[in-house]
Order: sequence, then structure tokens, then C-alpha cells
Amino acid sequence: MTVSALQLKDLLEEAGVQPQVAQAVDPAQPLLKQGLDSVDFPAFCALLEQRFGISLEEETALTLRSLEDFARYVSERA
Amino acid sequence: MSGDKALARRQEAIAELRANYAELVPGQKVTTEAYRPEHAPGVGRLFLQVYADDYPVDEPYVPELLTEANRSGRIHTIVARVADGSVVGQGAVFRSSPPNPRMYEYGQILVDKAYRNSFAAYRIHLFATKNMFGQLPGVGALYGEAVCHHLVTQKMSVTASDFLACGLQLGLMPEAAYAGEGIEGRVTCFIHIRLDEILQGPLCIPACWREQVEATLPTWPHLTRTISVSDPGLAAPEGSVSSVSVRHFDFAGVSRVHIAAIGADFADCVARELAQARGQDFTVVQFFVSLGDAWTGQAAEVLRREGGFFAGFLPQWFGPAGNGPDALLVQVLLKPIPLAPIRTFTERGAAVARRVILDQQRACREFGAPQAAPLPDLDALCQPKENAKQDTPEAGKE
Repeated sequence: MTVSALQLKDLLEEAGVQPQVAQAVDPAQPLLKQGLDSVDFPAFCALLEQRFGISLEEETALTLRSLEDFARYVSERA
Repeated sequence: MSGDKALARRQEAIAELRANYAELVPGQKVTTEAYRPEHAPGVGRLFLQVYADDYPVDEPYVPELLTEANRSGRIHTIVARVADGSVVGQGAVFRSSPPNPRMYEYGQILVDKAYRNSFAAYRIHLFATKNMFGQLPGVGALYGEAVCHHLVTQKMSVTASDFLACGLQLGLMPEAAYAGEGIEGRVTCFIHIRLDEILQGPLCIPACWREQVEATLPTWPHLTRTISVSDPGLAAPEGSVSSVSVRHFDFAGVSRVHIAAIGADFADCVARELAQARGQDFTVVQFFVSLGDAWTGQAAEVLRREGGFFAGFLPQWFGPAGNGPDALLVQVLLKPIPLAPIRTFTERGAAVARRVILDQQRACREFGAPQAAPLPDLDALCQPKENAKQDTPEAGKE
């Protein structure tokens, strides 16, 4: 299953990220440098686990920086 | 169990926790679930790590008490566990301050120091939102307290949880409670309430705080009330007696006074509680006044003369335990206090904060109440701008 960074960008708001922040996210740049905070980030990871049926450990999640990183990770496992 | 026996059992349980204490293996996958009796030692270990033996309640330390509290429904504990079975975090929905037996508190989220950088706290919160909020038997409303020196707890309170800001406890907690967080001054906390059932009842709004209460009421569109405005000239019936209960929080320097019924002796009760708090060198006295009596207006004037200021309207705080279901929260500062920074996540929270801070400034002007400083710029409260979010269900996902 191939998941694109743009598909994941659409999920940011669903995870509780402020719409203004979510819409401005550059898929190639680190999420935590674009306004996601310590609640947004785990919420987004939990939503990915639920939506794609994958397991996303904290230690792994913290190595995934950008939406493109997340898209690659999900595509390889979903 | 007698007081002596209970104390002995607590000390025995704490000694056992100390004897068995071991550091956890970090980096394991975290899962969450509802409490089972075999989790008790892990929960006790967490409380020992975070509070040493200072936590004022016995249940977390004493396995059979925690199990019984969970069995009876007084506490609903959530645990975060890892593959080797260790408990790495906990949270709870539990009976605490509100006199309403169906209003529970949500909080007590503790995470082992080896898992502070994990998602354990978030997973505990997610478990509560999915499996507890609005679903627990015997629980019709929830309240939570969220600190204002950062936004994380405020954000968790409103995101996917329907907790709505309705009170601000200015300078509630001492700086020492947040040692290591690099803050200076007493920490202010929001009160957030979530209503899952609506209780009927009278609402007698004191004329002097009508504007503040009426501005807060629309927070809950389904809260139906028979509303009247109480004139300060109306006195309680001669000889009537107030129903008062008090709890002191020595560590915080805070006294919480609940007044379920306002009697003719109200002014004496207030004076007595303030004198006692001053005698103990407390900093904050909070009066939770049931808004069911027609003479709430005169009671409010008593509190204003003592330097009291509006600190919140708390729907269903008293429930059937008060002459009216709702509470007015009035706070009195007993001494000038330095405040830690106040930040607000939602526009609703910012509006509550403005109401409270403006009334505190009035109390200083009119009655020489002690100052709390520095106060935030009221026009810039909900910053940064991207966080200027409404927390109403109509706003979308929340």
C-alpha cells in the first residue's frame, strides 16, 4: 500500500492539529519545527496506528521527522 | 479501620513498596488498560517515585484499598504497561472535591521517569477519552484542572474531551509543586468541566456577578435553569444556618470552603474561615457557594467586602448536595503573590481568564485586596494566534 505525504497531511487536522498549522506544513520539513507540539505529535502517531493498522513505537516515531518520512514508513508496513 | 490501624497499614504498604522498588527497563512498547488488582504494586511504585510518601490519600499505596476503590467505582484507574508487565504510567477518574457525588475529577496522570519522553501520558488520555468519558456508571460530569504556565494540559483537556473552561484559580499552586520546570511564582490553574447529564435546579445569580455568570452560562447550551437575579438587599431567614465544609491543603497554602446552603450566619462563617486561614499563613481561600438560595446576592456582597473576586461559574458542582446544583467560585488572596506566566490555549479560556483577572483588579481597587502580579496582557492572552481556537463542539472535531 502506498501512502503519500499529502494524504498524511490531510490527517493532521483530524489528529487535532490547528488548521492553520496543518495547512502550512511542508511535507519535506520536520513536523516539530512547523508548529506541532507534544500533544499533536503523539495524537498524529496514534491516528496513523489506528487508520493503517500499523504499530508505531515511540522510539521509532521520534526518528520520523517529516511527513515524507512518515509516508515512507507507513507505505512499507500498511 | 481505625485511624491508627489505617496509618499503620499505609506505613507498612509504603515500606513494602520501598523494599521492592526497582528501576524500569526503558524503551518497551506501551499499552493501556483499565485497572486490575495485579496492577496495584505498580501503581503504588509510581506514586512513591513521584510523591515519595507524601501523597495525602492512602489508596495509591495500599493495594487492597486501591482495588476496593476501583471495585466500588470511587476510582477508575487507567494503567500504562509495558511488555514485561511493569506499570509505567497511570491516570484516573475519581471522586474528589465536588460535593456532587456524580461529578468526578479526571487527572492524576503520572508517568515513570524512564518513560517521560514516551507517548505514555497521551496513550492514557486516549484510553480515557475512548473508554471512560461519558461511559462510566455513576459519573454524570467530570472536572479537571489545567495549569496555565504551559499549554499541554489545557490542550489535552479540550481536544477530543469536551472539557470546557469555566473557572480560573489565580495563583493556586506554589512554585515548589513544579520544581524543575524553571518557573517562578505561584501557578494558576483552569477549571474545566464536562457535562454528560443535565441536572435541573434553580440558579440565583448574585446581582454583582451577573455579567460574569451570564457570560459563562452559554458554554453549555443544553444547561437549562430557572434563573433569577438575587438582590443584595434580600437576607437569609433569621436564625438559618449555613451548611459549610472546609478542606485545608497545607502544602499549597490553600483552603477550600464549600457552602451548600447560605444561612443568616454566612458572614460569620466567612470571617471565621478567613481568620483560620490567616492563622495558618495560607495564601488562597476559595469559596464554592451553591447558587440555589434566593439571597446569594447578599452573600456575594459579604465576599466582595472581604476582597473576594469572581473566579468561576461551575455547573453542577454541588448537584443534589447543595440548595442549587451550580457553584459560584469566589477567591480571596490573603497576601500579595507573585504569579507564574498565564497562557491560554483556547479563546474560551482566554475569555474566562479576562473575566477573573478584571474582577481581581476591581477587588484591589475597591477593597484593597492583595495584588497578584505580574498579570498577563489581557489582549494577548490567547497566543500564539494559531492556538486561538474555540473549544465548542460546534468547532469541529472536539
